[in-house]
Amino acid sequence: MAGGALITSVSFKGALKHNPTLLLVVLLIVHMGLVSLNRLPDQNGQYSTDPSRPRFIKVWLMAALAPFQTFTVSLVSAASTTWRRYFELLAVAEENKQLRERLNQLQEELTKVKEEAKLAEQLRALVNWQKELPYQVVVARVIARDANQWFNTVVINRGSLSGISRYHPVVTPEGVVGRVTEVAPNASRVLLITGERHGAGALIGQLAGSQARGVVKGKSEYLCEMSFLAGTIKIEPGELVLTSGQDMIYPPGLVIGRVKEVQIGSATTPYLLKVEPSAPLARLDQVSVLLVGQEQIRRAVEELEEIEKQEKPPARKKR
Amino acid sequence: MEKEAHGSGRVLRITGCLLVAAFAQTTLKNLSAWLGYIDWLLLVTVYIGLLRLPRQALLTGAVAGFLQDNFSGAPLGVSGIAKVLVAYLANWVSAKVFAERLPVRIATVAGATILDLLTHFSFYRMLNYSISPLVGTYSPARAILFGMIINLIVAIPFFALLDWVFQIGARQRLRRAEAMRGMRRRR
Repeated sequence: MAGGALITSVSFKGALKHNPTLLLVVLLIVHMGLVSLNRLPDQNGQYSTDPSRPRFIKVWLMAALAPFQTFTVSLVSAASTTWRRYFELLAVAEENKQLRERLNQLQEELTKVKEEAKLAEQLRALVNWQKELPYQVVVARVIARDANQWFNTVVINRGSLSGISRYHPVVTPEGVVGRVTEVAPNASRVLLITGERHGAGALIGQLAGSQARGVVKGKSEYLCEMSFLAGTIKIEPGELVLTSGQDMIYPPGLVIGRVKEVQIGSATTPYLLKVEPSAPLARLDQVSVLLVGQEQIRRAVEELEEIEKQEKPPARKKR
Repeated sequence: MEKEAHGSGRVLRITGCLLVAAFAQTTLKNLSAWLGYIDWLLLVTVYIGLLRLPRQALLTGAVAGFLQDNFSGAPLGVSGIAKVLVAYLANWVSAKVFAERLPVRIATVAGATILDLLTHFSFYRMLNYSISPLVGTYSPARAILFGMIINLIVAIPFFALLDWVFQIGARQRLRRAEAMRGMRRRR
């Protein structure tokens, strides 16, 4: 019996070695198995459509790669600065042939000083902005983008060791970037607000008393879409879109972006708005992770509701 | 004298190429969003597939897909299926024609990119996952066309680099061309 099984196993291995079609079939079956792992039912018995499951392999690979990615980002940043400086120097040389050497030297120094000043300005803005936030903040650097063309995620160089956990919001001084979906000890994956899987409770205009409330979902690499808005409220392009806190992930009052395009609704049809994110998602470098819990968000929302009750701000114009 | 990589040396080189490709795929997007749409893992898979090494090609595809899914917010397994199919396609092409010719390589990369993107797209749709289109393109057809063009542009210098890594020079190409001609005559 055992001998027979051994012979079968050896001949199967041999067949795998010499028959590529058989190997293809075996590999396809293995991968189908992996695909089905994504669809395992969760604790509530619901079948998941969350692509970041199962997390354990992804998290450890992300942790292993993070130090190399941090190093490369620094290297690439240095190389691009050198490259940019080279071009600046060329332009100056063409314009001022006689004073080339002197001017090159000055230009180089000026560039360095400007960059330092710009960096200092950015850091000052970040520090000032963090001081204003009532939440604990972890500053992180974007070290990698998604390896797959169909998903909008980035990897940052801070993880559970810095106190980050799933669903923590990620922001820049300009606006919301996204939320944490996977956490390794030294790195985390962030789903951008433009990702189609991303959704956030949002409102338009003033934080307290806004009647224009809806849901902002990712639409493409550059845009989000806001839906479920009552079609009776007047909304203009350029208006500010803020988080409402209703999703219990983003605290209320964070800037998401501005209304870019309005697809008019009616009393029976809701509005559909194109929203341009304020955060520079295409060139993200430094971001901040807000270590905020659901309880804090709930309190903030309740405080807002209290203010709404007390102040009763003027209602938005109705169409 | 040129010497083609064999045995464990070749496996090491394939592993190195896959790791560098995965690394490039996640890091280059930081420089420019457009650079992120070059599928380096696909290109490595196609190259190994064209080397007429069926077993290594299929395993390369499987590992490439596994790496791609793990370094992404994507569900596990889909990229593996896509890359294994791509490896099989490239190997099938290499068994039929002299695969070191540039037009054959270009046509294989084009076909492989379409197959890869279509497999991804179909599986994500079938499994009901939300996906984002590529930069500046808003339909799957345009996304596939764009992916194909960008992979084709990069494939030419990249394959030349891989020829150097795997030490496949003019002598080996000539030997392979003669072998192919001999095979055809025998058929």
